[in-house]
Amino acid sequence: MTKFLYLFRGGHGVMDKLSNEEKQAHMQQWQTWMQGLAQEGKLVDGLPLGGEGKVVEKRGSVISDGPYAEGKEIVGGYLIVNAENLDGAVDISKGCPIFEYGGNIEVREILSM
Amino acid sequence: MQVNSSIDHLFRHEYGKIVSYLTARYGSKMLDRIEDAVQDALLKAMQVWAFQSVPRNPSAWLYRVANNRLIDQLRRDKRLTDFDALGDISTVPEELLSPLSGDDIADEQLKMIFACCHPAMTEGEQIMLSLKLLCGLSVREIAAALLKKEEAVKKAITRARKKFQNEVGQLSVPSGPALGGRHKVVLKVIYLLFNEGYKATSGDALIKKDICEEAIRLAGFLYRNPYCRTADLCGLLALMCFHSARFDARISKDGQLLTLKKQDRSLWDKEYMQWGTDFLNQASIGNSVSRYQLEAGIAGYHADAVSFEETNWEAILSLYDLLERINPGPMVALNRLVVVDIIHGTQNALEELHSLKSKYQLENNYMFHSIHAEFLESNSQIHEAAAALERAIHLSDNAIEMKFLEQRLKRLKDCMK
Repeated sequence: MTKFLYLFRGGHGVMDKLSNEEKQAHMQQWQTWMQGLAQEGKLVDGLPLGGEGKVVEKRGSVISDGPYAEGKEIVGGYLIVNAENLDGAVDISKGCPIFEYGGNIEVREILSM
Repeated sequence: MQVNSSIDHLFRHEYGKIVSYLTARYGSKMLDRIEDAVQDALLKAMQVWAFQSVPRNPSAWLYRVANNRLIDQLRRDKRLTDFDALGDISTVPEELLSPLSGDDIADEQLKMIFACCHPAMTEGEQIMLSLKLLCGLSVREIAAALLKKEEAVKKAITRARKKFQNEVGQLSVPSGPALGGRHKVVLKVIYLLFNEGYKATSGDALIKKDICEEAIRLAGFLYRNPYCRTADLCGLLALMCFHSARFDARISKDGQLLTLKKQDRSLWDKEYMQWGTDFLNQASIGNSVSRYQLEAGIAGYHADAVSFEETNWEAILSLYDLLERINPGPMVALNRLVVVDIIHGTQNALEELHSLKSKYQLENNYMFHSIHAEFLESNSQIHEAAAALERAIHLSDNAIEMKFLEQRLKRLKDCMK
């Protein structure tokens, strides 16, 4: 088994506009999906990220407000999963509720020796 | 998707609960900020709880996040000094931490009900603001349920919110002589709220049913307060329970409206019927008589009847007579005639209907023509009945009602062939 990192991007602008009921339903979809992964032993770790941050460059001589990417490119959270290979990790990601609101997932292998 | 029932409507209800609590604490002027803070807290909760699980006490968590967010905002505006006197405002109130002692929360929500029904606002504004602030519905959901344009609802709520911020001040339950008048307004708003949910329109059915449940929930807050627990309130609660019992039975599987006569009575919700009976018994104590008690009484006789034919129509008619005296109007009069028809025959009903027509100017009332058609049909005046139905269809602006009328017309025309 290899570990893979999911980087979740986008969808935030839409979430703001959801009704309370829809917010809750969306949250429950995520929970259901993640519980499924956990039961199959695929889930390792994961958390959402706050919207604000800093980008530090040149040993701190340049510090800018970040993430300065476009809204849809901001990383909103991460997840680490177990999968056979990259294709397997992509397959697992397909059930993620993020796609409902136009977000995307970057799937990367976490290297280990 | 399987929904965990323990967190059913969690966000919606927490919204109303925390907005009420914070508004009672910081005053009505802060409403805009408070709503923003609570909405932010819910968004954050959605993100975090999606990855983890919902904490054991979500109320306390949401309250803490919303309160902190509000304080941050007030600090930024340098308005916090106004509230320094409140002491350590970042602490979570005890009652939010302990799910058992929800009395204060109920209290704050009761105050909020009175605030949303403040006389500075119009009836429509009171209804929409209640749906927004107390029930946690979004503008889109309110528009879908009331069959209004989203833009119109948004504008009305903005207007109402401004009045709320400027007029309401400190939230409180009125006491002494002031309570009576305000209590009446609150009951009326809850009654209208329920009617909006119960009306057979093509608005979003799920939201509409929720609104009925919300109206009962709000009435429940009044019921818990001994000063607000009047016979009127019990009558209103009974009425809402009896109607709720029939909520699903009145619409057929293919979305058609079913009259009382055609409803499958085994589908009536027994639990709601029992609550209705209990509240009706409480409403009958004392000497006062209100429309709510009488309407509940009528609904109660229907609930008691094993079948349409074996209904105690005489008792219902006498309640309608009383109702017409204390709450006169075309709707009551028309509904009463349906009972007159059953007891005294169609000829009598038709005669009374004609005098009603000029009394209330019912020429453009679809209900009038619909009932007229029914009487004409049972009087074997088929052609006249068809004409009345066509007039009713022309005047109806409600898709489900219209479908119902068209079905009747089709049946009539089949008979005429």
